[in-house]
Amino acid sequence: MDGQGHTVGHLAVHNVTYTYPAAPTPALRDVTFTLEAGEVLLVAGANGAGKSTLLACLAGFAPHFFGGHLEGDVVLDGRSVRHTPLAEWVTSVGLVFANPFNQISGARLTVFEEVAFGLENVGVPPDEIRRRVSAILDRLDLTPLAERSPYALSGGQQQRVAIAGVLVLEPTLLALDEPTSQLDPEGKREVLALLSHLAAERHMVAMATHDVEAAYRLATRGMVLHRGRVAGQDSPSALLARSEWPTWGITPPLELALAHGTWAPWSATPPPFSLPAHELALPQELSVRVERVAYRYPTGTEALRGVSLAVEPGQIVALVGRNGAGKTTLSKMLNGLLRPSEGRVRLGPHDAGDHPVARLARWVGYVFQNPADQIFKRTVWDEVAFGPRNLGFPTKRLGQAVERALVLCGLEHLAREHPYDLLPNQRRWVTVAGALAMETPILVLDEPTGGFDRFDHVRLRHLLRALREAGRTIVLITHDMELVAELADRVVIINRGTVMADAPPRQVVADDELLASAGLEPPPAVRASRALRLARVAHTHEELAALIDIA
Amino acid sequence: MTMAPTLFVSGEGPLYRWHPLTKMALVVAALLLFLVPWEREPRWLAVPPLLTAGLGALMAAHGRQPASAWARRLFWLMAPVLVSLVLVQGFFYPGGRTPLWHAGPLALTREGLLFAATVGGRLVLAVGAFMVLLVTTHPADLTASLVHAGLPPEGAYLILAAIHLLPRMQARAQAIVAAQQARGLSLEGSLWQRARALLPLVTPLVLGAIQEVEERAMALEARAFRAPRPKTSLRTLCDSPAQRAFRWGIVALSGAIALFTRLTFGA
Repeated sequence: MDGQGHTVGHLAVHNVTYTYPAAPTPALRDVTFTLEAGEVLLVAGANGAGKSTLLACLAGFAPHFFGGHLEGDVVLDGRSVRHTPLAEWVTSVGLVFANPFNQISGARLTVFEEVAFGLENVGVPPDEIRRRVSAILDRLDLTPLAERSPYALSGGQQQRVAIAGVLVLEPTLLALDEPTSQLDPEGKREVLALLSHLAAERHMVAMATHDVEAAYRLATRGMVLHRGRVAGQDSPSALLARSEWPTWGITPPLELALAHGTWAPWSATPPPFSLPAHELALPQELSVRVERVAYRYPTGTEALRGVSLAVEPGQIVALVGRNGAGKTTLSKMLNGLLRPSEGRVRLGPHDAGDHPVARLARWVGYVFQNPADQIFKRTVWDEVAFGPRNLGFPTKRLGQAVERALVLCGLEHLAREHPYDLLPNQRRWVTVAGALAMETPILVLDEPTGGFDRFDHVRLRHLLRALREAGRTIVLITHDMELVAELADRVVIINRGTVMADAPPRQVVADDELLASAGLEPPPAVRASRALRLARVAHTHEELAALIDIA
Repeated sequence: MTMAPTLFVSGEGPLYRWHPLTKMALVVAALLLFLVPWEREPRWLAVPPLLTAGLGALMAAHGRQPASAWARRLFWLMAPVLVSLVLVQGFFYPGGRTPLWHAGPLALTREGLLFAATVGGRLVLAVGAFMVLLVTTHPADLTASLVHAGLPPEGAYLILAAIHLLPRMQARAQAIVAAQQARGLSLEGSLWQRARALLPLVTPLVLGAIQEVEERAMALEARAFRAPRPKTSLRTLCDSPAQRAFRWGIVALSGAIALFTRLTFGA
């Protein structure tokens, strides 16, 4: 840094090819670029394209932490990553990754001490530590949180503390790997505001993200990786306006794609699976009725009160709202994991209160947020078969159900792989397949899109539409208002344990006041139609296409 | 959001000012008292509970919050252990000869209860001393003192992380039970069925923890944890000749008591 918080420096990446230990082929091939102080590089690409690997190479973790083989070199201000120990390199390149919780040291009790941790490790005298930590907290608007426990913060606040924790070391380059992918909309806004602040301070930043729409305005340079190679490098707006984006697995900013005539709605992409509709239909359809339900935790905290909800077969109902609003608590009542303190839950003719969880699993399939909380088998096939086996499926039906679920989730070629050898998005698909294979008339999906790329989003949309047409009853918990606008029949906003709104998406997604009070944002189509001053507001990409054609 | 995974409770007073090694000496002294053959003389059985009560009084002198945190944690940790000790040793102690009460074919014996009281008293005292250390010592001070005492920083961090990861593991265990039950896993039935249900519960816990450890290790590296130069600390540890003398004194005293009683009264 030059003393005024501005970074100085020059990064040169020369023909970098990196192969993970025991991997047959390189994850990154022949990557070359340079970056100067004040530049913000946006790295985009599908899952598995090499984005995280590139950041790991920049931050020295590949090869110093992971092992493996690095060809070429990363040179920062004349120093080579090949010849610099990791413990020294990290003071020049700060790495922040997706999960804010795992970045907390666990050794410090306040935000101030947490941010000071890195400086203590490099032996900075205590007085200087205090001065530098106070300065960075001030610059990043974290001073009000200085005396709070890092564990008692929201995800967005924790991620800002993690960024402060590496920035306090005054690195020349800040490498951010999906810094907003595990945050709710409010957390994303907080972190993006901080990143925009860093861009204004002319830091050298490299950021990998799927959320191109939110990040591209901050960036001065863009790079797309495709199957480990650089598919394009340019200014972000020129790069993202190119017509190859559907093959890259990224979603460009809507207004850019519209302006350059490269845009196409997801429905224009054919379904990535072909199954006759009757194969998804079940002999039994069940509705969901939640009747004046209240729930109090054993601590006495009231999580839900007076909640009523109805979902019919062949409907998708989206539950939206802030983290902690009560969405997951409500959904766990459908399969008996939680029992209402008041009111009742009915699944078709059955009162959920009369049945144990193992019995309710015949009617309600549930996809949880964290795949690591359930995956335990040695092959994808066995993992997907676990649920139907528990339900006592006969061998022939079991085989058919598992194969069908694998095809729907794009896992048929990975059936014999170990689930922990898959990419994180593929592991998420394993959990979706596991729920689908149970062939339940009701399906609950809790935040299914975390870490998804364009290919995953398109597949999920086709899948949900096919399941709805087959008469399944679907409850979708999500922050993704684009998905809600495009697919949900109704959207239910949960706020502080009560139903704030229960209406078709078009009555909700353009109501800024209502969305803001629940910590949500309008979907891109709404924002784009306002930006383009169209005659009326489009709620979905299809509507937007139709309106633009008319215009 | 996850709660702070630490046992430390803010407060003021001598215990908070003491060097962590001084409080660790209390723990070592309590562990040495394990060796005293308390069961040789029934009156002696009152000594460990009295010493534990002394620790309680010491905590009480530091305010309501730390004292109640200490008592609550000690109770919830030790109550199940004590109950099972009384039941198992009371009814099944091999040297039990004097029945006090009969439950069908089983007899609660005086010798079994005495043995349970001996072991229980020692355990409560040792855990109580350990709780004094954890409740009144800031985690950063604990690691710093261990490093000053010669432990490598990685070792000191490992101890802290193990303490901190417990609540995290507990929360994950609950999430795993929910996820597997939702896939039709029944946690009821015969002993064999329950034993079979353990694999889908334990495996994700272990695999997930291994995955998390890698990410945590990366986060520590990114914060220059393994930088090859002496570390500094924002927090200053108070030590004094008096404290050093106390440390050696209390360990030597309890060691001497243990040695004397064992040599005099035998095991």
